Amino acid sequence: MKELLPRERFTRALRHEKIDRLPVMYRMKAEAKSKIARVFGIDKTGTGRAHDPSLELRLGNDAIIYQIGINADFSHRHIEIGETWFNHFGVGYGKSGLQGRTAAEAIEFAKTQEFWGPAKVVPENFPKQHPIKSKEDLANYKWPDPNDPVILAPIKDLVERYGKDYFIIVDLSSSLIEAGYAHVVGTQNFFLWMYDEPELIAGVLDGLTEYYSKLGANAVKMGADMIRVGDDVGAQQAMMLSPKAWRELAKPRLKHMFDTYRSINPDIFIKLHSCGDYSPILPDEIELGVDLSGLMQPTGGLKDQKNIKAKYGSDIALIGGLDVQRILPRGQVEDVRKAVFETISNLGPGGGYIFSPSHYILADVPIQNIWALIEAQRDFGTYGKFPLN
Amino acid sequence: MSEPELKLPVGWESRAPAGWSWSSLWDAVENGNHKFTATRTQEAIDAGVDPKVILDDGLFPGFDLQGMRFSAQMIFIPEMLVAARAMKAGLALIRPLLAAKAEKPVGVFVIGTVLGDMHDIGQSIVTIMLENAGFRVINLGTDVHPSRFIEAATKERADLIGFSALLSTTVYYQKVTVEEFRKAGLRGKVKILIGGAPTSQEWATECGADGWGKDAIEAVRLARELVAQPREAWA
Repeated sequence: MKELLPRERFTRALRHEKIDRLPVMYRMKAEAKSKIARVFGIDKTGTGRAHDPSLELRLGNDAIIYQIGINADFSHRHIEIGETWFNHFGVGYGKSGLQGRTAAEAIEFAKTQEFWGPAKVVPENFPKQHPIKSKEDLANYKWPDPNDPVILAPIKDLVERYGKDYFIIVDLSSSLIEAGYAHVVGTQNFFLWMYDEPELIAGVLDGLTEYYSKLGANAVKMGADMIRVGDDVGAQQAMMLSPKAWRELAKPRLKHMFDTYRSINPDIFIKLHSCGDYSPILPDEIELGVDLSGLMQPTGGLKDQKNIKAKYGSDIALIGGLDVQRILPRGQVEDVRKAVFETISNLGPGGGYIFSPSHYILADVPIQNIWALIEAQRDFGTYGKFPLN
Repeated sequence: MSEPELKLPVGWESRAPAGWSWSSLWDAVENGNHKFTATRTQEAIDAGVDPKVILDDGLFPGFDLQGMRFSAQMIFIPEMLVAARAMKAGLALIRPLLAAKAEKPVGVFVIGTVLGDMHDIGQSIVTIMLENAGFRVINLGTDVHPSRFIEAATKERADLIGFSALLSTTVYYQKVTVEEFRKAGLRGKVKILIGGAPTSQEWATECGADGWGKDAIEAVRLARELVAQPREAWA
């Protein structure tokens, strides 16, 4: 088969049509991205809203993914230890760990960072102050502006620069249940209030639905090919909340979001992401008309990839599936190669699959494993050749 | 898995006052009704029921049932959290009475999320389950420096220590913290458990920990097992 343009390859994979080779998508957090970029001599390594896709395209990505929404700023910026940084939702974020606490600890921290090998520890920013703690807070809460040009303007630029060749994804990041528990309300409160204050939870979710419907609609208008809605409802071994509660709280609100996007462009592709095990709601995703589901974390409840592919693979396209919890950061080169082979063998046959690690590549991945990953993906990801023959 | 059933404590009738029934308390804990749990626990105390009996016959059965359902993925975090909150409300009334009767805890357990990691939902569920199982639990919270684990373990003469981590980029500190206990000469005095999403039995072995809790139920089972094993005494 002749070589397809990246955007054709990605689109055809979503439609379960014949393609030359597996489309790929690698995403990296800032520390990993600058580390890998140095090897390629690339110095444009912006992430989040400052995203520069130079490195991702070099690695072979078929899509450009630009992140907006509640996660887009805090997780891609530097926060000092002790500082609380507030985003446009009024959520306060801090940083944990050793980096920058004392001079002695800075030396300890430096020992955990290694260029060629894995960074043993990666500093992370965490939500620590939640703006809605009561019904009064909700009543007085000012939702951010979904028409904010600062957030939206780069979409137009990316579409103009890359849209002809590449598939353009606008990632709304945590959009509903996760935005509620992790950011706006706080995890323990969110789950307890599902019992104690169901109206408060409904109000928060309605506000988020409204915001993300409008924000996503703007992205569709600006020419995005796909809207990615992220909503982590899976824990390692099971869902965090019951499938029944998800069907009551999330499903109708997601439907409203998707309907809004489709009212602007009926052909818009929709991706729904959850970390962890969300297998009980895969049939619901299909019912909602989701085009792409993932990134399929294979270490807990979503282990049985072959079965998932056989059961749902013809009704929904899948992305991800390569273990980033254990194999990619701590496996040997051969383990990585084997895992890529297995993931592709499980999910690739018959199409409807986009190869990707099951989440961001973090700085805990040694450079040689990234090499092994890319090499194996190129060796095993061509249709008509083993194992996709 | 088939639906777990409420296990009635053998011989509860003979331990309760005449005409007494626990069933409303079993239901209250199971359904996460913390207000009624506190009310009914207080009624039992006022009726002169032995606090240990209230705990074993009144509070545990409903909670154990939810624990089994949680483990079997029949209920999820919200249901488990409200049951745990109800259990806590009952325990708050019972604990001072148990202490006054010099009932010894099963063991002293110091738990926390390792340095660099702010996730606490898993370890707070484990904490409540351990408390229910009779452990005295000292929860150090999140982003806990190894030196704080050592300080608390020494001060509390801990039997068991638990390190939680949710990220592949923070599990490293589980290993470091085990190593710090060794360097401080305390490794023989405590049993160490680890847990959290990216962890595994292999990782626990690599860290030099004594056990890996796949989930909260498994963590409690392991804690019970390990606390019975011989250790060096605290000076």
